[in-house]
Amino acid sequence: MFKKLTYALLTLVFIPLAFGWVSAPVHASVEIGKPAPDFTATDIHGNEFNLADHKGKIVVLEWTNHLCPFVVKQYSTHNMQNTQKTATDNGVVWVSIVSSAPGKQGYVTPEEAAQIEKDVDAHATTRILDPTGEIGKLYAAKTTPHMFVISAQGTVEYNGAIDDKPSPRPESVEGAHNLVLAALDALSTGRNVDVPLTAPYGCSVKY
Amino acid sequence: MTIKASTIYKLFNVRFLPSLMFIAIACLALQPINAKANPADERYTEAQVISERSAVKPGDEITVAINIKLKPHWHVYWDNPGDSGLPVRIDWTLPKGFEVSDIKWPVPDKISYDILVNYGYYNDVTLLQTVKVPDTLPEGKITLTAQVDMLVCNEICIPESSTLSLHLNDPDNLNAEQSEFITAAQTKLPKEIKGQFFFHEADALLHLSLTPENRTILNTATEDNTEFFPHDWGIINHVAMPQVSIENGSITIKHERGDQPVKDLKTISGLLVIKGDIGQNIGFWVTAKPENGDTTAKPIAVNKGNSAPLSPSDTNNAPAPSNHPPPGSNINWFSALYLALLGGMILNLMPCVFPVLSMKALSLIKMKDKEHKRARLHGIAYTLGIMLSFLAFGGALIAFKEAGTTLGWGFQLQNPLIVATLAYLLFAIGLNLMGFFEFGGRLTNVGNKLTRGDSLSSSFFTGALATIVATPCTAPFMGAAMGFALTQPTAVSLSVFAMLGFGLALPYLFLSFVPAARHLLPKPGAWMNTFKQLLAFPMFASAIWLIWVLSQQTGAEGVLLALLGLLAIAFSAWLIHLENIGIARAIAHITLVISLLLMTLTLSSLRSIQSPPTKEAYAMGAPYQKETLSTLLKGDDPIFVEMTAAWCITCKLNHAVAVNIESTKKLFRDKNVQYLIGDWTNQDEEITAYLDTFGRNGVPLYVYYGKRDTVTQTRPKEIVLPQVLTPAIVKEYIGN
Repeated sequence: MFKKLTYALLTLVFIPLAFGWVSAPVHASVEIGKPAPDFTATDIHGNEFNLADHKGKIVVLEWTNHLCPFVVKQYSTHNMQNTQKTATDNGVVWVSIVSSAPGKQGYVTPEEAAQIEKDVDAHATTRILDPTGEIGKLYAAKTTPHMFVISAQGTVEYNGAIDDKPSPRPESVEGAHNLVLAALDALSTGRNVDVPLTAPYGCSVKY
Repeated sequence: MTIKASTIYKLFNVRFLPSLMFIAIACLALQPINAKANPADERYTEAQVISERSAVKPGDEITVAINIKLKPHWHVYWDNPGDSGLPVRIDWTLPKGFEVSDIKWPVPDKISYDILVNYGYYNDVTLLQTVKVPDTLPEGKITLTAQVDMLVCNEICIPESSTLSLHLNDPDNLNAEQSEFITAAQTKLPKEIKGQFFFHEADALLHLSLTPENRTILNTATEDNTEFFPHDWGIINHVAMPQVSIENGSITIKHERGDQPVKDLKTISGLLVIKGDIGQNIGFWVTAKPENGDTTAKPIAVNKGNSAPLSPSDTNNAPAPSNHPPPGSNINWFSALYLALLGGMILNLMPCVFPVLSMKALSLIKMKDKEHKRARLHGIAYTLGIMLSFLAFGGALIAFKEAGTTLGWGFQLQNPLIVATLAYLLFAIGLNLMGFFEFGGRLTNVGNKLTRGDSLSSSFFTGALATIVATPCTAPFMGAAMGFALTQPTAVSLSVFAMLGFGLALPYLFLSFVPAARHLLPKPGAWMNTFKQLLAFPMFASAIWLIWVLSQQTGAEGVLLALLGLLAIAFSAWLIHLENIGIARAIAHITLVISLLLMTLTLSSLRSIQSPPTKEAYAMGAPYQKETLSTLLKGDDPIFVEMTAAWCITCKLNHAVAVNIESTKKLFRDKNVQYLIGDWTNQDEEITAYLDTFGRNGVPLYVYYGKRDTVTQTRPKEIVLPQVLTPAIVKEYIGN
């Protein structure tokens, strides 16, 4: 009898413990090999996106701002779209995130975002608007582009630049070493990512 | 500038984007070298190349400058641009045999923008390079071409580039001299210094210990104008503010580390910067080496004839700066285990734990002497229950910490949801002890069951329950041990938690193993029931206290909801009391579950509108803020910092008996003590960080900063006061 009561009370204590903290906005930092901070958001098409739902699949997070010259370089040369296509064709979940605050460069409404997605022929799985910067700050996203690769086990395995040519010049795409593709290749063949951490380059995220 | 920005916005209008991209590609394809990446004609930079002199001889070395003038508010970047941006890039096209050095960068400014920090230059910047002239020179005019690529930003970023030509030995212009311009530019470069520069990681912070040989360079350095600008990416978290201390000719800079783990770094180079107005920073190049583990044996560098030789006494008194252990962490594993054991035992007396334990102890009275073995098994089961719960708790905390969450011990009470839940729990146990609360329609109440001591698993779960009801009390009393535990490797941390549990279990364990001790307990009888009812009151008292904590966190609304929750519990208990009426019991369970769920959900939404705790609660003292403290530290007056929380009983008690009393107030007035109070009732990163610097993970914390010495112009080392204060203790520390 007493056992029953204690069970009940234990449950009473631990249930709020469990969901009280998981959703609490905590100051988390992203470390290679550590679990990726979880987040839930509504994408530009109104669908719910919950990172935790995609455990078992590799997830790429791409911070973007369509007016940033470094992003323009990636999209005008189709380098980003090709990377997205290669990734998603291989079962990777690709999330483009816009953390520009209202009134700042790159801020868009869901409709505008959908139009951009169409115009540039993006191949991302989904696109999330983060005008409060909550997700961006959760990951300490610094630049556009800034890339994160999360393994099927939910750990961060790559954090940094899209490639090794920090330049806004479109011609710099040619011959650049695509660090995200390298990370995806390693993860999909069960190897460790050779270069898991690089300095992201580009415009600042317009929080 | 605003007009410009909006033009760009228009140009980059979403609808035109694809066509614009096409034009951009076309332009770039047609103009491979001198591409104007800036779509508007307006430029934000104007670059020129300037040579030390225009006539050169074979084998000469000359300094050339690339000068960039910027529109107001726009900036270009340093070699390490910080969190975003790109350094200025200069690509030379040189005649055969010419060589050019790396860029010498002037000391940059720190440019903060929300959570991002950049290093760069405003207004006017000159980058210097040395050009080596070959031993054989062609006749006549020689042309060197520099392609300068700049990313120029003011919130938005625009790539610009300039192609600049430098003509040497031009017969039309041979005597041009710009050496003054070059000399002026050289004064803006960082200075080379010698000294002892080390780094290590402690308390999750990167510590840089810089001891320059020439002390005079530190004359203008203060704790507020000194910073470190790393040359490489990922060394520090640029946006975090450094903690700087200057003592005995050494500067210690503690900084949150960057993306690169400190252990992976072989050296850290960068600028020790003494900040001035824009463009007026003074910088010194330092390259720090990792500190080896053996800090105590490190010899002090012997100074060889530098401009400010140290006196012998100075040398003796100047320890390598990194020899300072973090204050408060001078508590070793064994004393932590001892403190934990002691703390655990004291927990038995806490109003929230005592009733449960008393009931448990009473169960032993009823056991006949023959039942020794059984009593022992119960003792072991109970101890296991407590220790495993503590380990689970400790493990969860460590996991949170590993995941990067900054939580201190006592954090569980920073969440109103948990405070309310604990209040419900204590209230329910109180009702149960009153005999008001019966389960399953049988008249046996849970308390009787408890005193009878049935299955071993019940003992185990009593242990778990004791741990949970003890949590509101652990926080205020276990500060030092917990603080130590959480900064240690996992195994050590867990051993401290286990020891705390063992201490909590010890009295009962003792009773169950020593029959003689059991004989000292009173004989069983009717008094037990009365006693049990009496024990309900400490439980209710604890619940009241928790509701009061909640009132500090969520205000009146939260209290209302929590009290409604208690009403629901009481109502359900009454319904269950209507013995054997199946429907009533069912309704009781449903009511309880639904109302508690409702309260919990509403309470969790309240968290977002947490009102700051009322500062009026403190009769005196200014609220703690990092800036306030650093401002006060600049002054001469002594400072007393008190870190407290509404849910921390020790804190409240200390405040009431030792601080907020006439004699202490008078002492503070007489000594001009500046008094700061930090309230940690809700989560507060600044306070957590402050506690962390003292190796603490919980409140209370009392720190006293002595007044600045009029002769040496330095403050004595800050003193951490004990966690339990009396007026005499306060007087002893502050009176001297």
